[in-house]
Amino acid sequence: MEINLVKRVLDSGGMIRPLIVPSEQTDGSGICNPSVFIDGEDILVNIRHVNYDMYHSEFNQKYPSWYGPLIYLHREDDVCLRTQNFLAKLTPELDIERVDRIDTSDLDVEPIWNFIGLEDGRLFRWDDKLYICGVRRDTTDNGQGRMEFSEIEYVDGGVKEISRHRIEAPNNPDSYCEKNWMPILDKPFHFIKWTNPIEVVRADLETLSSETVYKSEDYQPAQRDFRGNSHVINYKGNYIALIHEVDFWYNENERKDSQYYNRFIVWDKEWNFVRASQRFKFMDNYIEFSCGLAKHGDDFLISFGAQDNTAYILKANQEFIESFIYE
Amino acid sequence: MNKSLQKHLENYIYDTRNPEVNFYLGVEFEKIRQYASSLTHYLKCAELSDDQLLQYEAQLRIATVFNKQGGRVKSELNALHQAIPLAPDRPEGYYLIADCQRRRAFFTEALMYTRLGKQLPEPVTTLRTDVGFPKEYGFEFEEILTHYHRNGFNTTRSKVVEFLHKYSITDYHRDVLVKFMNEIKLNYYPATYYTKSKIDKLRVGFEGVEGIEKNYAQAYQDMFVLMSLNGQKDGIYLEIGSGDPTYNNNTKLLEELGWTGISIDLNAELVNKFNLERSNRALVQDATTADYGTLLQSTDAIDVVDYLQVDCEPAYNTYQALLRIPFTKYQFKVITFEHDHYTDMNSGIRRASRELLSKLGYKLVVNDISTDRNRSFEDWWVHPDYISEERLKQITSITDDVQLVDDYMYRYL
Repeated sequence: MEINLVKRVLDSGGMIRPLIVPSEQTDGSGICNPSVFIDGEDILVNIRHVNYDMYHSEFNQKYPSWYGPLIYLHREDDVCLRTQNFLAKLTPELDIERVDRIDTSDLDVEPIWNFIGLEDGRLFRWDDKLYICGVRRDTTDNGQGRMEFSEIEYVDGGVKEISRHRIEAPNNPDSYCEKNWMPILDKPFHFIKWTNPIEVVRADLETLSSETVYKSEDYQPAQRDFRGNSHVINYKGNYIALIHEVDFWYNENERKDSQYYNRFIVWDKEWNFVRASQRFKFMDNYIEFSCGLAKHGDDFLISFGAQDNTAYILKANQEFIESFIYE
Repeated sequence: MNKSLQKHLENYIYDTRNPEVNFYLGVEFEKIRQYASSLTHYLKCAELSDDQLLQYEAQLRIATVFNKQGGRVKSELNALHQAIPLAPDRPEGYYLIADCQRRRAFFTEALMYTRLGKQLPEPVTTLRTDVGFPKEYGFEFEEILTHYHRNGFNTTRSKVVEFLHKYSITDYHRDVLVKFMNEIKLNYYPATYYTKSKIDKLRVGFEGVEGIEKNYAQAYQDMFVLMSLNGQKDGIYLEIGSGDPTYNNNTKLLEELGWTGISIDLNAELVNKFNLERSNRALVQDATTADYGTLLQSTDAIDVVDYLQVDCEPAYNTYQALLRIPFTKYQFKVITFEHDHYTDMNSGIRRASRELLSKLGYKLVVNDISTDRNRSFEDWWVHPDYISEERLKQITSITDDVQLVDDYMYRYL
């Protein structure tokens, strides 16, 4: 396993930038799970803000919190998990040119579950409409999660949500939580819902439903599940995406802890498994999560969050990524 | 691009498990108020370091970022509890935990940590960063604030006043004190003083001004009296609500210039202090029931008193005191009346006092004095029979708004 992919990216001529949202809009709590998308000439990133700080006592766990080694520290007078999203426009040097909170007020309804807002939204443009698509869990009293399309636009000097579509799960209407569907950028309204074995679904915004359009039986023996992360992008005749794997465990004091790992996965155009890279960490954190992969000139842009507290964007040249995948 | 942040980020990428590198990346994130990000790296620093002092400082910084974010007291305390055992002979942790306990109104705990920290010798080594411990006055500050809750009202004011004169404090500590004083109904306004270096800028000069090194009143009331009366020596005053005999006292300077008079205050400790430190006398009396005729008979005044100060708390009491003044027997050349309008905007005390004094023939020459442009707390009056027309014109400043006392007292370009 590679524990510091970013170092190798920098050594091969790449670059990294932190994605900062001014604390006046966030109270300085977590910025995470950014999703980069190349929109014509623009480099756009959806950045998730959460109203907690992730406290994660790593390594020898000398300093757990009052609860345990891993805890989401909200304000003590607000136990709800609130997400708001920010749309950032980046310069070619990956610095933030502008960042706007996405105004969802026209479509918001009173939440009835305590995970509030659209979580882990992937950013893309389909049918000439810019969307973030993530999971929302605040519309039922049991926290049932469904993927929602949130159409957004730059209007009146800001960014506004102008339509919202909640998509039912395919096959099993009773499924508890649908999340981390990976948008296939060159196939509008198609997502990879499961990665091992692969299942591709298509969403219908008119009927608010989805259906499975491809399901493989070809399971790749793996230690852990492959869970959805980034966009799925067309690269040299194949599809490539980032997935994550998770270890959950309870420490000696029976407190929960976890580690996340990342991989690149390559499929061919018929969704046959081609290759999985070795597991890696971006920057040696127990928890890292990427919601964005884009091709930009000869480079890949990868956006990821570290410990749910910080968001980064990474530029890596394609030769490096290719060679890393095939190491 | 934030070059400093970028530099520390790249340092981190090339040495992710270096505690010091993590610490300084945390500092960079904290500088731009990305507190969650700074938490990640301070915590990594503490986890990875073998250096107890660095772990201690990282935990203090973690506590600080929780405090800056607000609403995470439990986590702030957790960090401080982890910090103190790492360096139990250093004061910073005790101060920060006392501050935290006091903010959550756990005053006994605050005092305990204050006393524990106060007894420690000054550490030989300094920390890498400013963790917000004001070593000159930190523990004294905390003691004052806990003092009220443990020992009550009477002695708190004098302690605060002394403290403010003794130290130059940060905005944070000043704000805490102001809020505290207002919460416990001890009206407090930041003080501003005259020193000889400002002589050329004084609004109106007066005889003997060159002999005055400094004043004592909180908002130049003593200088205003002298300005109105052209530096009169050997005057007579009645001081209602004398407070501390020196700090922010309106008659100390007058006494130094030969004035005599009588002062009253409800606070026995302050009155005792007054009588030990001053030549003139003070009495423990309730301003709302005092017999001012008898009090004035004990002075040399026949029917004219040179200065009357009326300053009690709350403003209602100040007005009640004013109503008891024997205006038919005595005239007062200069009056300063503290209406505390900013805390008392609906009570009508300011309006009522103005109606009363105007009817009695007094002239309002300076209205709505404030030391911070926001809080109108006092009006200044004179009896026109005792002030020359020219001087009256020079000292008069009536506006529709609050008057910053520095703007009034000095001629600025």
